[in-house]
Amino acid sequence: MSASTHWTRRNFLHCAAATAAGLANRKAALGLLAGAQAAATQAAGEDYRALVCIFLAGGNDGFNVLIPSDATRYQTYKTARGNLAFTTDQLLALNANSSKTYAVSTSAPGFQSLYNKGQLAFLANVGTLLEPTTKKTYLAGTNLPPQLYSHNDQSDQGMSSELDALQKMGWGGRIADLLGSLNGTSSLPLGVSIAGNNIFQVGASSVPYYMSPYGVNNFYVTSGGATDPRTRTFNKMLGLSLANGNLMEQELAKSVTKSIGLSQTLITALANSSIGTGIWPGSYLAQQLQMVARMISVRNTFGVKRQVFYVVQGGYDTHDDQVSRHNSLISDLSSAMAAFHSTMDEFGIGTDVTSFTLSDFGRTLTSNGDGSDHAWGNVQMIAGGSVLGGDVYGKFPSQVIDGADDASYGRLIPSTAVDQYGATLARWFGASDTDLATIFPHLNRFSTADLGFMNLA
Amino acid sequence: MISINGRQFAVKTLRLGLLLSGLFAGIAQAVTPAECFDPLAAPIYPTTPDVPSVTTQAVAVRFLNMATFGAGPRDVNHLTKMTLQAWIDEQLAMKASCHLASLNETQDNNQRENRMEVWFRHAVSAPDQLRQRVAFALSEVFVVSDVGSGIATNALAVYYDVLVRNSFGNFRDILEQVTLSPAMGHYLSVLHNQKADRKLGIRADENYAREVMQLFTIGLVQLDTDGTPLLQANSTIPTYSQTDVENSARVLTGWGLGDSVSFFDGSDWRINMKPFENYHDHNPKTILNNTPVPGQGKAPADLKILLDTLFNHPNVGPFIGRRLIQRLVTSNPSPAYIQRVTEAFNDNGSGVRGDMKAVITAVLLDPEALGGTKSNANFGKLREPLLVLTHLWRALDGKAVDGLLRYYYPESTIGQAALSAGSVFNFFRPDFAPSGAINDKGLFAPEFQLINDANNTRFYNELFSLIQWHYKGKPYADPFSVLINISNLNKRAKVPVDLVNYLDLMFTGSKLPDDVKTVLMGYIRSLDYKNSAGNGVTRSLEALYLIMSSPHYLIQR
Repeated sequence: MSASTHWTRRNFLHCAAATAAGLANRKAALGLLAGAQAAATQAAGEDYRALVCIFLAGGNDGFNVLIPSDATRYQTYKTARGNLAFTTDQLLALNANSSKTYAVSTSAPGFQSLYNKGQLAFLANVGTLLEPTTKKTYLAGTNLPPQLYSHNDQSDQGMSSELDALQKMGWGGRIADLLGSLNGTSSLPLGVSIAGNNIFQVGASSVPYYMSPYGVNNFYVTSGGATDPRTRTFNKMLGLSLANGNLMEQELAKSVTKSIGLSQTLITALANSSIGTGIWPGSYLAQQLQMVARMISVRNTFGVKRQVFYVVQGGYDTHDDQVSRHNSLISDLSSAMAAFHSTMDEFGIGTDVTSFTLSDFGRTLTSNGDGSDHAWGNVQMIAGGSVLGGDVYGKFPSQVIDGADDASYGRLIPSTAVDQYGATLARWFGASDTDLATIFPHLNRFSTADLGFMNLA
Repeated sequence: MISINGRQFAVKTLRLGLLLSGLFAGIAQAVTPAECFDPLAAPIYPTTPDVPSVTTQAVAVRFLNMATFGAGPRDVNHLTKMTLQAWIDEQLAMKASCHLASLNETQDNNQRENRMEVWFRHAVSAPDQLRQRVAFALSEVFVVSDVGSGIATNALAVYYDVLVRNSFGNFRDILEQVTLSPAMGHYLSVLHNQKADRKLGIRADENYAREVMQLFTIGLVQLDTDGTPLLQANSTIPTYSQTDVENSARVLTGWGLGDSVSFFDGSDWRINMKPFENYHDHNPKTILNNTPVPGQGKAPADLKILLDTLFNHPNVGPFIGRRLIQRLVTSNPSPAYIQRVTEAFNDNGSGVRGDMKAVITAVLLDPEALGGTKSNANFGKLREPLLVLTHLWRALDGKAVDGLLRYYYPESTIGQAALSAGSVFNFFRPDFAPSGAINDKGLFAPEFQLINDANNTRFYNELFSLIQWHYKGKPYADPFSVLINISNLNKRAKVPVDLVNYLDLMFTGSKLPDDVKTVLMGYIRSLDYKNSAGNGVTRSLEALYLIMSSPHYLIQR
């Protein structure tokens, strides 16, 4: 793809489309699908688990994803949200567990179906916390996360769970540090990012493998093979940078060496991969999740027992034109998650794969004209066959402006910490109590390390 | 809704627009932005004086790699005949080459491909290199992007020219022109931001209010003049509170497009936004540092208080100084280096605060910038992918047969395109550090945020393609793509040591270690000088790629 430097727009689109949407067809045409399908399905007694972090970049307005629909709470919601509120005819009802009922918007039929099948749970009012925090302690300024409401700080804090230190690694990376040995001598790191660099998957000794949603390419420079004089010269020069270069030269050489080393392994493995037989939507998020599915389908080639994936859906910083932008984002998110989990079911590993959302922060309930601003507590989604779905976890907050849970303008003070959220997922993934204390250093400040939304049986 | 029709009078209208908007705003500063030279005329390069060299070639290359889009033979020759200071003075006096003017000469000024071509053409061949380079650096601080924003291509060119024209002006003007530009107004939602309305249940939009403080001027915590955070009881001190954000948001209400008759109409992206007092919050407000914004003030008067308050905050010098140093010179400047740049920002020597000429000179001529690793062991930065390409083409006269630089989708091949970052946080953050030794030492390497397995593959392969398959004389090469001219290399390729030394000089400023050169020369010598590709061609291409792809080159020291 990269050989031509002056593509026409048509070529470019054609190329992108061919890679994404046409993949299944081309695979079917080549007769690869059936064999790949067999490889993807679960072997008897297989011990495999994957976590898929879906990062909603910019700050998802989670309180317009999960909407209280019983008359009293809907009225409060409507008052708080002003011109951002959904009308009742824009809501899809979720199966009720009590007199307090919930809905999603009509742009999220995927969520409705996953929830009603029991494969999707919501976690209400979760956010970055240094310790349990009330409106009183918030107003007093006691032990609050540093740089509340700032994009990069709150994203990094949520992914690292180290709020009061310089964030250098994430809880996905610390999981990899502690559980990486389950993958034996696999050359593929436990973490795989389909969305570039992120703090979430970086650990003390763990760095993820970064790939594009469209697959892996060979390095042209080394394509002549290890004994080719050009390859040897290139490698020798890299080696000298590794050995004698300054700090930055060494780090760059290390990164390039790793990329070259893994590329051929990945290309070979992915040739036998599958995205199942279901229909995938065409969104960029869906393309990333397709690559996750392909990687999962060839997990046995790598001999991995545990994997943490990272994908990103951007565009959530909806200060403007929120209603139409957010509807479109949530439509893509819910349809991509539904397609992904139905593929996992098809692979026979529906209970082995859990996806979950993270985001910078929630957004103000109040409207700034035609959008919302940076806030704090948020609603997150957890999906998969091991999720005790069809339920809302955490404590759904009061949506009264200036009420008990409101910091200002409908910036809700979280009642559950990201640490508790992550710990519940990490325990399912196989982390012990000791591991959890390392992965989430502040976990013991909060009432429970298990929020109950995962089936640990 | 966004259109610029009629390219003939577009430039004239732009100037008129800027003038009018100044009158409307009533807060225009008494600084004339740089005049643009005629894009149809051949660029005027300064005449190189016929005198003995005063600056060595290696010093010149190294300096030009910081101050321009990459050293090329013409610039190196020119700079060797004068001092670095004289070169800077010459650059500071040059007229601007403006992007909209060039874009208007293309067939469609609203086509992104044309904006990219114009950007590369200016980066590679504009004579006002220092201005262009600083404008690019500023575009990575005052970030506006076409990713997910729907901002029209020609509006982005207008915005880029705000930075080009004001690069050598005063920081206060840059701040004001950026704030009032429709592209930024749209990107961070000052445009159509309106006062609170209880009936509608709405309040002021906080987007720009927050980011102008966090990302454009003062940052999150109070800084000493050397850029280190001030501490109180061992904790950093926030520069602003959430209330400051909320109240600054109210200050920033009431701005519509410059040609609009009522608040929500208008379509002209060439001129600054203008105030609509009915939508402005006229209640008293208290902003940063308890600064009062009295009631009944008009939108421009309120804005002046906000921008003055930000501009005069002691953080701005170290904040913007560190960012310019990182973009142009090194990722980890010493506190003393930042301190010296802060001093230039605070006072240009004539009592003027925010003079960009003084700041840029201080950044580039600082002993640490000139001393490199000799003055700071952690000196250096990873070259941005765009800067690697512009360097290749400047060093080897890269262009298509008609002189254009068609390179339309850099984001797909090298992961970076001008005014096309993923968010207002730019392609990389000033405090990014990759996991590993850099991070462990508490150092930063912002550009490493673009380094990962997927990007490494496509960048290394694209560089390979641009060198091995895009040179003049390559059979079947598309003459309308950017082709490098390797005749200067072929001439030297008969003697491998000459070839390697020349490339080492032109690309690293002669910084390749001897053992690296020995390995490379061994390989080059093993290749036939004469073969079917032409005399010297294979040797030239192989040496060029292996040097440009090596960490010794990609880390600029």
